[in-house]
Amino acid sequence: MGGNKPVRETALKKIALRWIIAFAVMSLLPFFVPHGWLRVLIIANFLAIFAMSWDIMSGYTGYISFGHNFLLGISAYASVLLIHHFDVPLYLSMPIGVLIAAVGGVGFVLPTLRVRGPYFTLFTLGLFILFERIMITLGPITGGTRGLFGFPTVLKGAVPNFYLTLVLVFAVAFALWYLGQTDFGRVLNAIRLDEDVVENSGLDTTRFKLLSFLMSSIAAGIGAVFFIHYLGALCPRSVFAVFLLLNIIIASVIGGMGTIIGPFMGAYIITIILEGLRAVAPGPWRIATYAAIGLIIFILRPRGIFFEIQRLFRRRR
Amino acid sequence: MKFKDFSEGGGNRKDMAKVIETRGISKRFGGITAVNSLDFHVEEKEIVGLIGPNGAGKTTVFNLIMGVLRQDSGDIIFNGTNINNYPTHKRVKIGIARTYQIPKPLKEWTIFENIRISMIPDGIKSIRRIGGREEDIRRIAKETGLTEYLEKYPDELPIGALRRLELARALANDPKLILIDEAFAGMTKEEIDVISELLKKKRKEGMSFIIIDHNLEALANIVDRVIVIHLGRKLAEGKLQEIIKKEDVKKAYLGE
Repeated sequence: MGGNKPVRETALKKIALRWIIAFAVMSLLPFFVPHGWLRVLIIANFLAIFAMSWDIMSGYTGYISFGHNFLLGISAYASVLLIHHFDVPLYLSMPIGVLIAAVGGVGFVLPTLRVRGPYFTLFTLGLFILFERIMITLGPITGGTRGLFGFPTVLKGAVPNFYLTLVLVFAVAFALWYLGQTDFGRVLNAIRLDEDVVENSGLDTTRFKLLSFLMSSIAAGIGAVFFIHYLGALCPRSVFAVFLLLNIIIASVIGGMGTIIGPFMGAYIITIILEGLRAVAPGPWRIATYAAIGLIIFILRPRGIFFEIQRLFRRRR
Repeated sequence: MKFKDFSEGGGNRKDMAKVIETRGISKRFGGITAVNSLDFHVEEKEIVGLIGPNGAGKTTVFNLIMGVLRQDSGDIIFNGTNINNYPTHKRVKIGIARTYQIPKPLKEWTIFENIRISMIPDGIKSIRRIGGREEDIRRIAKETGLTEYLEKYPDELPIGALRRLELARALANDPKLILIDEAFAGMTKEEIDVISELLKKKRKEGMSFIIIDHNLEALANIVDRVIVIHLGRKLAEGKLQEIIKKEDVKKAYLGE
C-alpha cells in the first residue's frame, strides 16, 4: 500500500511541490471546462472528501465502516436544523455540525471498537439505517422524506463553488495524507495488517482506532456541512442514500485503500464515468455499466489505481 | 560482584529479585482447564525453560502473562506490581515482551520497519515524532543477524530469520523480560548458537527470559532452570539435567 516510509525532511520539499502543481493544474479547470461539467467536478470534490475521510478510518485500519452516511447525516442535519429552527447563523451552524459529527461519531462507535470484522461493519450499517429512519420519523422537525429547503448556501454560482470545494478538498487531502505519512498512519496501517502485533509492540490500538475515527468524523463532517450548504436542500436521500455509500467505498477501493490520494482520484474517476455514461447508457444501463467498469478495474488492479501510478513512476526512474 | 558471579545461571540465588511471579493462575476454556493453579516465578537475569508436551498449556501461560487472555483466578505480579488489570500494550510498556510461536511479521513492511514498530510513540505523539533511531534498529538487527535483510520484506526471509525477527521486535521494546515461544524451531545449528549467545549476553545485561522449546539439547545450553507443565499443572521444576530423569516427566513426554 501507499507510503511505505514516513516523510523525511529531504523528501518534503519535492512532495510539497507536487501538491502545489496538482492544485495549480486543477484550479485552471474553470477556464477549459463548461459550467455543466464544473458542477459535476464540484460533486466529485465532495465525494473525494467523503471517500478520503472514509479511508483514514476504514482504508487504513481495515475496520470497514458501512456507516459513513451516519456521520454525514448527523452533521448536515445538525447544521440545517439549527438554522431552520433557531435561526443560528451559517458560520456557527456549520462548525457545530462538524462538532456533532465528531462527538456523535466517536460516541457511537466507541463501544464497537473492541468488535472486529463483520460485526463492526454490521453495527455501522445499523447505525446508518437507524438514523435515516429517525430523521424520517421526526417529520415535524426534519421535514420527513420531503426534507427542508430554502436555507442559505455558502456561495452561489459554479465557478466560486468550484474554487471553494477545490480549496476544501485539497486541505482535507493534504491533512489526511500527511497524517497517513506519519508514524500515526503507519500504526493504523499496521492495525489492518495485524492488530495483535501492534498491541504487542506496546501501542494502545484502541486509542489509535479512536483517533482515526475522530479524524474521519471531523473530515466527513466538514465535507457534509459544505455539501448540504452547497445543495441548499436537505432530505434523507441527499445524505443517507445507499448509492452515496457505495460511491464512497467504490471510489476508495478502485483508487486504492489506505492511500488518501487514491480515494481522491477514485472519486474523480467514478464521478466522470457516471456523468459520461449519461449520454451513452440511459437509465438503469448507466448504473449497470458503471458497476461493471468499477468491478473490472477492481479485478484487474485490486490494489487500486494510485498504486499502479506509483509503480509506473518508480519503474521510469 | 567479586565473590559471586550472578551473570551465569543457578537456581540457588535466593537474594535475587523476582521479575515475574504467578500466584495460582488458572484458565479454563469451556470444560478444559488449560492452566491449573500455576505458581512460578522468574528471577532477574534468569533464563527459565518452560517445557511440556503439546497441549500442556505453555502458550496459554504466555497469553495470560501478556494479558491477551485474562486468567479466571490467581494473580500475576511483575516487578512487585499486580498487573492483572493491565491491557497488553501496558504490560509491554512496563517491560514484558513476547515472540509468537508462528512468526507474525507485518507482511507489507520491510524488516527495518518491522523492528521499528516497537519504537513508535503511543497515541497522538506518533503524529509529531518519528519513532526509533536508525542506529538502535541497526544494532538490534546486527545482534539478531538480520542486517542483510533490513530492506527486504518478510516473505523473502527463511523461517529461521523470521524467528529472529520476532526476537528483534521483542528486543526493540527494551524489555526486562522476554517470553520466547519456540526459540529454535526451524533454525540451523549455527542460528541456534548465535541466538543462544545473544540470550546469554542479554542476560548479563539484566534481562530475563522464559523460553518454550522442544529442543531440550539447545535449551540445556542456556537455561538456568526449567519448569515442566503437563495438562496445565506444574509437574516439576529445577535443573534440566535432573528434571528429565524424573519418571513422571518422562511419562508426560512419552505418554505411558
